[in-house]
Parts: sequence; C-alpha cells; structure tokens
Amino acid sequence: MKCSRCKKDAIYYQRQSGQYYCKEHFNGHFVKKFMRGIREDRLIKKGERVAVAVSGGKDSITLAFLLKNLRERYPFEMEAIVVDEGISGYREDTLKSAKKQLEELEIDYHVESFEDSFGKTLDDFVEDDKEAACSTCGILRRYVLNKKARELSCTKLATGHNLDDEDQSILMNLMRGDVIRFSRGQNYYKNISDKFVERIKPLRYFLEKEILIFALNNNLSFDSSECPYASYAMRGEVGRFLDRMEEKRPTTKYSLLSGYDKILPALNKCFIPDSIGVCESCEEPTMEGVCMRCKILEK
Amino acid sequence: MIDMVNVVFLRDKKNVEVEAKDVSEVFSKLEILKEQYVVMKNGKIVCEDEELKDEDTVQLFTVSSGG
Repeated sequence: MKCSRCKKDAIYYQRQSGQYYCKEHFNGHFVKKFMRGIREDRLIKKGERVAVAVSGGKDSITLAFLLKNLRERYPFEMEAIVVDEGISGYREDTLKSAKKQLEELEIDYHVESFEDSFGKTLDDFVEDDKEAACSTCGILRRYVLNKKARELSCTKLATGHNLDDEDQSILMNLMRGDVIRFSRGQNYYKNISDKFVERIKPLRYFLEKEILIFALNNNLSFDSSECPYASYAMRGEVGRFLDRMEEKRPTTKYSLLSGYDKILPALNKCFIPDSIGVCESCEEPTMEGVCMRCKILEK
Repeated sequence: MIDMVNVVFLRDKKNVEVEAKDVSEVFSKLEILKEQYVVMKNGKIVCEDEELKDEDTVQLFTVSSGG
C-alpha cells in the first residue's frame, strides 16, 4: 500500500484513523502529536526543570529524544535519571544502552542504584519471592526517582509510559480492587504533597507498537530484551488479553483509555485526598502510617 | 508454486519457514498477533499487506520489552 498523504510505500497502517503512513509522514505525525500533547495538557512550563526517567528501553529513549528536540524550540532544562535495580543478566545491557544513547543525545544523566540506596539489589530483595519482584521494583524505583528528581530541584518527572501500559494498569488496578491506584492514572498526579515531584507521561496516548516504529525509524539505540521477572507479572497476561481484543476489535485500547479519562475527575474527587501525611519512619509522603518502601526494607 | 518465506523472530533468535503470500498470512499461519510485532523486510519496516515471494526473509521485532 501507499502512504495516504504521498505516493511512497507505507510502513504503517493506523487502524483507528484508517490512514497509511510512509516513514516520513509517520515521523511527522508522531512528533506533531507529541508536541500537541505537551502544549494542550500543559505538561512542561517555560524554564521548568524536568527529570526524565530512562531505563534504556524504546519508550524512555524515545521520550528523551523527543524532549531533547523540543528543548531546541522551547526553553526548559532536562536531566535524565537511570535506575539500576540490580537485576543480574538483564540490567547490565539495558544500562549500557541507556548510557550510550543519552551520551549520543548529549543529555546529562545520573545513575541511581538500589544497592546504593537500600544496601541490596532487587535480586536480593526477591530471592525468596520472585512473584513480588514487579511490585517491589515499582515501589522502590518510584521512591528513588522521586527523591533524585527532588534533589535535582526538578519540578516534573517525565516517564515513558505508553497507552498499552496505561490500559494494563487500568485493568490490573480494577481487577485487584485497588481503588486508590485506579483513581490516580492521569497525566499529572494531583499535587498532594510538597515532597512529590509531579509526574508527567507525555507518551500516554501512543501505542507501544507506534513507539517502537518511531524508535526504529530514527535509529535510536535501545535495548529490547525482556526483564527476567516479567514472566511472574500480571501485567504481561493483561497485555496479551488487550492485544487479542485490539486484534478482534480495533481501537479497543484507545477506547479504554479515553473512557477511563472521562471518569477520572469523579474518581479523583471520591478517592484522592487533598493532602497526605508522611511516613512515620522515613518522612516521605504516604497515605499509610508507614510507607510501602519502609515495609519492604523492614522485611 | 508454493511461496516459502523465512521468518526470523529477532528477540528469541528463532527461525521458522512458512508458506505465505503476504505478511498478513505469516501472522495467521503462525497464529501470532499483529499488535505484538513490527515486521521488517530487507531492513525496512513494512505493512501487513506487503506481498512476499519465495525465499523472502522477514524479521519480526517484538513490541513489548522491559518489565
């Protein structure tokens, strides 16, 4: 097939719009949508200092690349934070990939490891309970990212979450009955504590497949391996279910996120408090007496 | 004539041969989902309706990665 806008060979058929895209028009469309999202959702203010969480995978590398390009036209500061969770046989390569691409993009970065922050690697934490790897990793990683972003005086923390990630989280939180997490999936976290750096997800409306195509089109260096703990996670199962639904009923993924976004204001109102307290132990923000990070460290 | 296509799963480093006239048929014959792969032929990304001929090689790039 040919591109819907020119006569070049198409590389992608976007089912929700019915459009075929050649490489150039796909890239143009992708960048335009990214810029529009930043502008319309007011994700970054002029002069703001933004921390970008970079894992070395296609999503965060694409995000760093796009933000770097945006910076050439719009003044703001940015630095990257790379978290080394300590996952043997996996993180070494992804870390190398992250550093290489960030250096090529000339983006300053900081590597923060679980071992330095908590005295143990993720492998150590979950040695006897691999099923807990993803939740443990998520809690500790969010803590490290927030703390480092705050230390760097950043006012935003940008992550590479894509539309597939968002849909998976919506279903997972609902299936677990986790109403609080279910109610805070928007682009901005409601600012409920001075200690939280506001999180933004500029790739939230992009399909994971489209991000991969963009990263390949732009010859970005990224690592495409799968975390060895991924097979224990519910996320993968939910993701495969959503892929099957999308195949049978195109636009399912968009509809799920768009429907969720419509009920979010009501969810926020009902379940997210205006402010929260701090952990009795570490004084970081939490809705409980002792935060999840401290509970993990106490084990 | 039967068009036998060589399919390379890049992440799994796995090769299979399948009889297919286009990329879409590769997906249906191998019972894999289009959502989960980006397809490359001769180093270029191609659409699902890309025609294939005997002895063509297509590479499948897995979409999901990380955790």
